[in-house]
Amino acid sequence: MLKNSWKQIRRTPYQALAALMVMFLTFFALSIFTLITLGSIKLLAHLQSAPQVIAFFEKGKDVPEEKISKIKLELERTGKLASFRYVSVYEAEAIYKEKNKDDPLLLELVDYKILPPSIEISATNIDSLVDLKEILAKQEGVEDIAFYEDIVSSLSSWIKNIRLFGLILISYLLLQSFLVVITIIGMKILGRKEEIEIMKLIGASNAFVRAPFIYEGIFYGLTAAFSAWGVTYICLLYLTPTLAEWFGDVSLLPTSLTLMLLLLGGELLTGLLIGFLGSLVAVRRFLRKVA
Amino acid sequence: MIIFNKVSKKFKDGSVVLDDISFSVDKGEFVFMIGPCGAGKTTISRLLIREVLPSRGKIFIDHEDITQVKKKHIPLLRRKIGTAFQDFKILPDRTVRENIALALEITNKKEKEVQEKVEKLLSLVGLVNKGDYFPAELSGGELQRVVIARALVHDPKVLFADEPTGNLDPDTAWQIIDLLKTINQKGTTVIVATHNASIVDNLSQRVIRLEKGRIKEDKKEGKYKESVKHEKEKHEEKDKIKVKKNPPAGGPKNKEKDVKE
Repeated sequence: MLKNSWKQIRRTPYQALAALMVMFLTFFALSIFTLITLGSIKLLAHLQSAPQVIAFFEKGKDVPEEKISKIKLELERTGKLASFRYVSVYEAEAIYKEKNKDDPLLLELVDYKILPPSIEISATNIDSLVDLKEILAKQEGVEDIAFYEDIVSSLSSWIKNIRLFGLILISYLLLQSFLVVITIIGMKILGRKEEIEIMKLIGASNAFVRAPFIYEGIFYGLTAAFSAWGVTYICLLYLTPTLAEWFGDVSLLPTSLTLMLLLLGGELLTGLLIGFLGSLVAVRRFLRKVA
Repeated sequence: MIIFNKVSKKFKDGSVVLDDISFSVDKGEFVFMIGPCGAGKTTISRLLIREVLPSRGKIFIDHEDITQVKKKHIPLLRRKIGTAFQDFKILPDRTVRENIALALEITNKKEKEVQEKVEKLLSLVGLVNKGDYFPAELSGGELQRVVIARALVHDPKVLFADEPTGNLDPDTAWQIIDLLKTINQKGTTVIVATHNASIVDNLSQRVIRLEKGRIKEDKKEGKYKESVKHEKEKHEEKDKIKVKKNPPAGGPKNKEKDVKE
């Protein structure tokens, strides 16, 4: 039966190609949006765990320890503090040097005297940031405050929208693939009307007539899913150095092989289901017309 | 082996193709089924393979009422009855070998087994050298042989050949009949629906004559011409009586014409 199915595909290469191309597009979009969604979850988690408020003090002068302890205590009392870190002027200099180690000119111009000490904090949830920021702003010696609430919340809303858009697009493409499988398998059944009639008259069972069409649908689903995953993975590997640089500290890349294999498994399962259900609907609908 | 018990077939358009027919065919018999077009011969073959169901009556094959066979078991029934269709039903895009093999592939037989059987059948019908030909490259007689070979793939107990000699020259027609006789001698029950009078007359086999969906005659060693002649005479006799009872208006000239018709 598998042989018959393969023969059937070879006999109508353009129809097969059309089905594969449409389904490839679906799975390509599915791969990309799945990776974007997973990446965005990780990105958001990173941003939420990173210091969300930084209070800068007078340049070149470390803040006394008692004062640091007092500020920390005051922040902890709110119950909203997730992390607290004091960065001294020397630490700031070390960070600066590490970041600009390839640029001797910048290293030469800057030392701890022109760098401010800072307190970096993050909140247990993003809504509590305002309260913590106000406490920090009131502290004596604070010269400036960097506040990331807006960035995080707008990024969060962007990600939500991207996910929603991805979900709608993928649903649309999956439906389209499903309908394409029904149409193409249906066309093939009608094109082989005479052959099917003859097969039934000489004693072919329903299963024998149906099976090659079902296998064909499954073949389209699995091939499209696998090739789309393969192309996505190759593109991802190719773009990893560029993207990793772009994302900087966020450890999104390289994507783990386990994750990619899980994605492949999911896509193959989806492809199998679409191919199977599409061809099943076509077989039930069109074979009735034929025999 | 085959029993038709008061079988009628009426189609949706109201036409009655078979009207209360009963007959039986024993194992190993060779039967000619004759009658004009539309007499119901092809419908009998369609009933035998459950392509259609009778409107009334029962059909038994090997004591099994095939009108009661479940849909899923119809393929098995069709493998028991070999049918050589009037319109061949051969796939034009497949070679002779592939056409015959198709009937075996549907039973999921192994490729080697299929090949062996196909070669055996090609040899039986005398087409060994034409196995790789496409139907368009074959003569009418050769096509008929392919159809017979395909009908025999499952070693059926019954072979129904619907007009196997139609459109064939006398020599080729006799070759086909010889082939069917050989098959019959090997134990297969053969039913031949035909119009070919010379073949029917020369073979002196059982003849079932159908007309307007009814069995008009069922004779052990029947003759086509005799049977048809007898029927024609009966019709003419009836017409004469009619004319005598109701003479047509218009004088003796018209009267003579009507009698002739």
